Amino acid sequence: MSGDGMANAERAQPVLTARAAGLVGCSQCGHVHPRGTEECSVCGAHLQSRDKTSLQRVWAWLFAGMVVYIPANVYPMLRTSTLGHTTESTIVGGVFDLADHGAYGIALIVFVASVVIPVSKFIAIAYLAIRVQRGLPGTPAHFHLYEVVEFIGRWSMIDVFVVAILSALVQLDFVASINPGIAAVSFALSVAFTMISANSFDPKLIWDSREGAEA
Amino acid sequence: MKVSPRRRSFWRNLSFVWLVPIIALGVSLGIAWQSFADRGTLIEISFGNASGVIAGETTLRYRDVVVGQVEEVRFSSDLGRVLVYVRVDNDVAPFIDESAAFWVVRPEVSARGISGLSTVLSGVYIEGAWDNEQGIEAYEFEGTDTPPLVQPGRPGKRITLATDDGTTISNGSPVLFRGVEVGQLETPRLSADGRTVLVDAFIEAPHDRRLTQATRFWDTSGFELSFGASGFSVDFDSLASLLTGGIAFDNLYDDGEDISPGYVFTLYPDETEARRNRLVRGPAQGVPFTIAFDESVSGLEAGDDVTYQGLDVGVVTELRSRVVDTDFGPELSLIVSVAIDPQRMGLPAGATPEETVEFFRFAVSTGMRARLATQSLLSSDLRVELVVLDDVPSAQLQEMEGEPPRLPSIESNLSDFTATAEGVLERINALPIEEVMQQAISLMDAVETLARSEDLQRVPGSAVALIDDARALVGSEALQAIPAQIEAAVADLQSIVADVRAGGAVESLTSALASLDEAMVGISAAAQDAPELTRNLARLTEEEIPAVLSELQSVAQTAQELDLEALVASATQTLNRVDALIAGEAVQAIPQAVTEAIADVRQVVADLREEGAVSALGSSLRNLDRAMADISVASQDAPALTANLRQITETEIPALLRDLDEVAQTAKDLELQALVDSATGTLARVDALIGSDDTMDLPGTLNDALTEMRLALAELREGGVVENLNATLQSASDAASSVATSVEDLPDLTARLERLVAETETVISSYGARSDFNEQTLSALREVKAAARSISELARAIERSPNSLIFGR
Repeated sequence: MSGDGMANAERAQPVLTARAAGLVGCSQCGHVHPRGTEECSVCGAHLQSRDKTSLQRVWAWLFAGMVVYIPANVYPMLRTSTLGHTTESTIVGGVFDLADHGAYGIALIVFVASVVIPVSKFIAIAYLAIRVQRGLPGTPAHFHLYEVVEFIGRWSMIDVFVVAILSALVQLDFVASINPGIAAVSFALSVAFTMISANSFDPKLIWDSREGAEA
Repeated sequence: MKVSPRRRSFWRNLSFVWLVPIIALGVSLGIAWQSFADRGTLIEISFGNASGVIAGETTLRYRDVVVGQVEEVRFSSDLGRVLVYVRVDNDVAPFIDESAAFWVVRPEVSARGISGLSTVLSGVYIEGAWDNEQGIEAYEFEGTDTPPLVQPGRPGKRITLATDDGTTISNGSPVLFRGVEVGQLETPRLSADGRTVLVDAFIEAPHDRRLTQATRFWDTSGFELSFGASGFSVDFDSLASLLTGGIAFDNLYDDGEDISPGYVFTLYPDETEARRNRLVRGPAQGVPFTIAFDESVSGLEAGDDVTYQGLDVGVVTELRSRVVDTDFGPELSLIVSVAIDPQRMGLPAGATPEETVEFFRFAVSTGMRARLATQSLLSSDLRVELVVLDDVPSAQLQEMEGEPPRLPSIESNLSDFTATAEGVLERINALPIEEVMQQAISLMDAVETLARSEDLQRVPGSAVALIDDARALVGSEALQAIPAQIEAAVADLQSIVADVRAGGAVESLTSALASLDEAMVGISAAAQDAPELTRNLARLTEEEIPAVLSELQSVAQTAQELDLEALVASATQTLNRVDALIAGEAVQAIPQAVTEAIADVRQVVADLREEGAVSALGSSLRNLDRAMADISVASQDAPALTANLRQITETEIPALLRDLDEVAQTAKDLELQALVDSATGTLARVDALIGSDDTMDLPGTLNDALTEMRLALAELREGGVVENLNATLQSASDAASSVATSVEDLPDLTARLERLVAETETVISSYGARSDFNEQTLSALREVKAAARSISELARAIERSPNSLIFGR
C-alpha cells in the first residue's frame, strides 16, 4: 500500500484536503469547522470528517440491488393478454420482441435503460468501492465516474414507469390488458437499491486513499 | 512484543444495513422457491397430431377451468407422436391418474351442432377428464383427437354393439330410448376377423340400468317411407339421427338378466326385426336341440325363428351338414341346430335343460315333429315349425352322447305350394291377352267409324224436330181443353151414380139378380138334358157338316175365280176418295162440334139429375125386378121344352140339314159371277157418289146438322122437355109394371108353347122332304132368323144406348 501511495504522491499534484488541513466540513451546508467539532454551528448537522460505515452500506445496498436484479430478469416484466392470448415477457425477452418487430430504437432504449445502465452501475460502484477499500489513490476521472453513476441511476426507472403507465392505461378486459409481473417490482427495487448504494458512497473517500495510511 | 490496538471485531464493525441485502436475498429466494413449488407437476401427453397446440399458450382445462399450461411440444424419439408437456396445477395433479383422458378441443361443426366455438379466438386447448378420486399418479398419457365417449367421472355404462353394416352409424350418433337421447356411439370398428362391425356406445346413468339381456338395439337412422291404409307417411327420429344415424333400444320383457362385462349386443336393422328376435334371452337360456332334414334347407339361416303354432319359441343357431353312414353307404345329412326357450314353451321359469328335454321326449312320443315352413306366403325364407301330428310313424327323441338331442323331422309341403303357384302363373301367362286386345281395338275402330257417320250425326237434329212437333201438338189448345172436359163429365157421372145409389136402384137390382138366380136354377135343370142334345149335335156334325163344308169349299173356289182385282181397285179408289173426304176441312171441324155437343149433353144430364129422373129409373127397375121374378117362375117349365126340342133335333134336323145341303148346291150353281159384277158396279157407283160434289158437301152438312142438334138440345133444355121426360119415365114405369103382370101369364103361355111344339112335332113328322111345307118352313125359319137378328140388333142398340128407350130414337 505504501509503495503505490508514494508513487502517486510523487506524480500527482498534492491536494490539500479539509481533513489534511485539520478541518471538517459540514456535508449539508458546507461550513467548515475545526476538527473535533461534533455539530455544525450553522445547520446543526452531525459533523464527521469521514464516514467509516460508508463502504459497508455501499456494499450492502449493492448486494441487495444485485440480488433483486436476478428475479427482475428471470421473471416476466409484463403480462399482456390480447383476445385470450396471454404473453409474458421478461425484460430481455421484451427487448428481443421489440427488435423482432423492427423497433430497434425502442429496443435499444429499453436495453440500455434496463440492462446496460443497471449492470454498469453495479460494475462502477463495485469498482469504486474496491479501489477505496484497497486504498488506491483516486483521480478526478473516478470522481466523474461516480457523478455519472449517481446521475444516471434514476433513469433506469424508465422501464418501471413504462410498465406502470401501460398497466394503468391498458385494461380493456378481454381485448387487451397489461399487468406488471414480479420482475417489475424486483427491477424497481434493484434500481432503488443501487441508487441508495451510490448515495451511500462517500466520494471524499476517493481521494482519501493515498493518505489512508496516515489517517 | 508488539502491542497493537485490539483489532475491532469484524462483526462489531458490521452495519445494520447488511440486513437489507439479506432480506432481499431472502425474499428473492422465497419467491424463487414459491414459484418453483407452485409451478406444478409436469405431465406428458402424446397426441397423433397437435394442431393448434402452442407451448406456453395452450392451456389444459378441466371442466372448462384452466388447470395447467403446455410447456413444451416436441416429437417422440421416432417422430411418431407429438409429445405435449403440460404443467398441471399441484392441487389437481393428484387426481390425474391412469383414468385420465385428454383430447384437444377444436372448433367443430357437425350435424349435432357446433362445438368449441370459444376456441376460434382463444386457440385450441386441451381438455382433460378424470374421476374424482385420487389414484396412483401417472405422468404419461395418451391423448385423443376427439372427446372420448366415456369421460372418466361420468356415470354410465359402456357397451358394445355388433352389426353387419356400419354405413348408417357414425361417431357421435345418438342412442335413443323412447326418443330421448341417453347415450352416444363411438366410431365403428371392424372386428378382428372383419366379419362384423363393432361399435361402442356409452349409455349415461341412470338409463344404463335399463340394459339387460332383454334389451334389443336397432338402427333408426335414415327415414322410413310407408304407404298404407292410413296414407303416405314419412318417419324419422330426429334430424341428427337422419344425418348421422342413430340407434334406439328397448326392453322386450322386464325380467331380463343383468349383462355381464364384455356382453355384446346385436344391432338389428330395424325395430320390427329387433322385436321379432325376442326369443334369445341370452344363449344361455336356450336349450339346444338339433334337427336333421332330408330336404333342402335353402332359405333357412341362422337367426330364423322356430315356431310352435305360430309362437316364436326358439331360434335357429346353426346350419351344418354331416356325413352319416347308412346301410347304403355314406349319406349327407343337413343338421339344423336350434335353441328352444323353455319359458316360451310354457315350462316354468327356472326349468332346467333336463326338464326341458324330458318335456320334449314326451312331446315327441305324442307326435311332435319339426318341419320346414315358409316365413310368409310370398317369401322363400324358411323357418322351423314344430307341429303335433296324429298320423305319423312313431319316433322318439334321439339322445346322443356329446350332442344335443335330435328332434325328428317330417317332410314339409313347401314344394306343393310352389308348384301350385307356378301353375297359376303359367295359366295367366297362357291367356290370349294379345288377341283380346286386338279384337277390342278393332271393335273400338268400328264404333268410332259409326260415330263419325253423318247419318248418326243427323239423328239428334231429327229427334229435336220430332220433339218440337210433339210439343206443339200437346200444346194445342184443343187438346189441352179435353182433360178439363172429361174431368167435368166424370164429375157429373159421379154425382149421377151417387143419386142412383140414393134412389134405391141398387137394392132393386139386387132383388132382380136374386130372381135371375132362381131362373138360372130352372135353366140348370133344363141343362141336364143338354148332354144328350150335344151328343146329337156332335153326331150331326160328324156326318153331315163335312159334306156341307165341301160344298162351301167349292163355292169358295168359284168365288176365288171371280174378278176380285177390279173390285179391290174400286175399293182402293173408294178409300182414296173417303180419305180425301176426311181430309176435308169440314170433317176436321167435326171434333169441335162433337166437343160442343158433349158439353150440351152434359148440360142436359145435369138438368136431368135435377129433375128426379133417377128416382123414376129406380121405380122402373123395381118393376123390372118383378118381371124377372115372373120369368123365373116361367123358366121352371123350360126343361120340358128342352126335352121337346131335343126330340126335334134328333129326328128332324138331320133331314133339314140334308135339305140345306141341296140348297147350298143350288146356290153353288147360281151365277155368282154376275153377282160380283154387280157388286163391283155398285161399288163403282158408290164411289162415284162419294166422289160427287154433293157427297163432299156432306161433312159440312153434317156439321150444320150437329150445330142444329146442339141448338135443338139447348131448346130442349129450355123448353121443359125434362119435365116431360119425367112423365114419360113414369109411364115407362107403368108399362113395365104391366109387363110384369103380363109375364105372370107366362107359365100358361109356356105350357101352350109346349103343346104347340108337340103339335109341331107331329106336323113335321107328317111332312116329308121336298114338300111345299118344308120349303115354306125353311123360308119361315129364315124369316124367324132375320127377326131374331133384328131383335138381337135392337137389344144391342138398347144395350149401347139406353137413352134411345127414353128418347124414343
